[in-house]
Amino acid sequence: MPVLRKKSSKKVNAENGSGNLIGDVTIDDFANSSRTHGRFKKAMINVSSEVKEATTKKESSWDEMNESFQESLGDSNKSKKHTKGSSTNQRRRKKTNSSEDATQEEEGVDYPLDVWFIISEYIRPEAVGKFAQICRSSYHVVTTGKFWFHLYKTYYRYVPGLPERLQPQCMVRLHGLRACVIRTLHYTYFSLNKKDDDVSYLRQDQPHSLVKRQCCLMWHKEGKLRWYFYFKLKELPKANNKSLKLRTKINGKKTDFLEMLEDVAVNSEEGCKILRVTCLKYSMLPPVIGLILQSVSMTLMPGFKDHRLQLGFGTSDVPNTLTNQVILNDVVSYQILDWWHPTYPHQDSITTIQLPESDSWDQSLL
Amino acid sequence: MPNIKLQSSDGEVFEVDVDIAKCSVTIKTMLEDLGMDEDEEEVVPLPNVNSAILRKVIQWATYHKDDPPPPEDDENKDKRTDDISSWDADFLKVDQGTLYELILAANYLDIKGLLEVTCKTVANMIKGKTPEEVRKTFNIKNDFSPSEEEQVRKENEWCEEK
Repeated sequence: MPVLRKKSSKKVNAENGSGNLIGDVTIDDFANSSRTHGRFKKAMINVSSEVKEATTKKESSWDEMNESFQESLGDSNKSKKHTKGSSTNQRRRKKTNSSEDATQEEEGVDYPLDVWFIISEYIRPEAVGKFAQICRSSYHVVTTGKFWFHLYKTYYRYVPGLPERLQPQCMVRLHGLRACVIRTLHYTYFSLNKKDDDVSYLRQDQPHSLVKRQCCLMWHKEGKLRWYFYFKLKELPKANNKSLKLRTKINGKKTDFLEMLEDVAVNSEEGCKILRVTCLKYSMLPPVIGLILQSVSMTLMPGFKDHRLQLGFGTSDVPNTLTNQVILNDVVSYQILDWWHPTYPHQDSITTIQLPESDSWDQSLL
Repeated sequence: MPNIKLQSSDGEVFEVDVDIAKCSVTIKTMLEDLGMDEDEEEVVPLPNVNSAILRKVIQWATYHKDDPPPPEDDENKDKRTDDISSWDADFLKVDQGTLYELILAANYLDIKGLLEVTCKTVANMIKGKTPEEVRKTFNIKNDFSPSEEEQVRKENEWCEEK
């Protein structure tokens, strides 16, 4: 072990450029090593404080840009002392390269926020996503109440069955505004602008796309001739999923409760999808609330007319660790509903859902 | 008609009719607040606008000098992008750099009509392009990390065609 420690100390010293190799290494040498000092010095010499700040802020994102990093790593090696590649050395090079990349990335223009606000007034609903993806400024515009109020006022049309919550008299609060406007647009703008030759129903998601989602609710309803089984499946939270939102919140210091009430982006149904399965007969199902969908299998029933849908649930998203199996026989059809879909069973639309089938479950409520 | 002298960032001086110059709310306010007499020989410095762009702005303002004042912002109004007059369309057949400079100048000089028509032109140019193509066309810096870009795309699945 002492040999190894010596080796590593040599590398550290070599990369620091001291050239004076010492035989023994103490804790003090490591603790007070010039590693931090050396890095700081480079930063002071090579990059301006602005670039340095940008580099520090975007450090995590650089890690993901492996390709460009690898390229720049090669370039920077030429101008550096040749040292055998220890991991610490690479890490340090990465920092320097990050600053070089940051300088390169600063090429390109930054339109003033006012300009993005004005352009946003001419963006049609179907282009909102594309507009938000252009840059941070355009994304910021799409997170404001002003943008969503404008979109609502421009494209609102009354349609029968529109929930009261989505009607103009209720669209005054900022809290959850985005989700309400999106839902309204799907009741009005997108439905009314559907072309006659629209075949989007043929391109609907397969139930297999719901794997690795957690069942947070299940229920069933009896129709006149059919049974309807519902599974509400929510995306599992990811570690870096809300980084952009969180950053915006941190920057905006949204810690105040009253300010949280003005959060435009709040949406309790975000990441949720409903699997609605229509069956000819009732099937007894085990409870799967809280479990994660691991497998989906759709097979033909004897008679080759209807299908059998098997949903395997488990306590984790590790495959083949099923604990509960849902088997639905005599399946006539299924539908996957996103939260913005007009037939998605929101609390405020529960009495007004218009299902295409004549014996839909909600008609019995009317 | 009294004239006023406007000086661009690179030092060129333009003599312009006061009424035309007052298309710009910034210049109008400057004249009113500072009490600059219209017959004075003083030069109004415009350090944020270069001569090439100022010349274009004056050309636009001269053509539109008799236009009725722009209406107050009506949020309920459907903002169309296909109502650009043919003269404006020809006037804005410029490279993206000039268009960008014109937007900045219109924003700085507070000329609502010019700002609207330039932004409409940009909105039209955005149509049918991917975000990457838009960035390339307008030389916009992509300040998203790949994961952030993916996150923004995911947040906006609601408007994607299925």
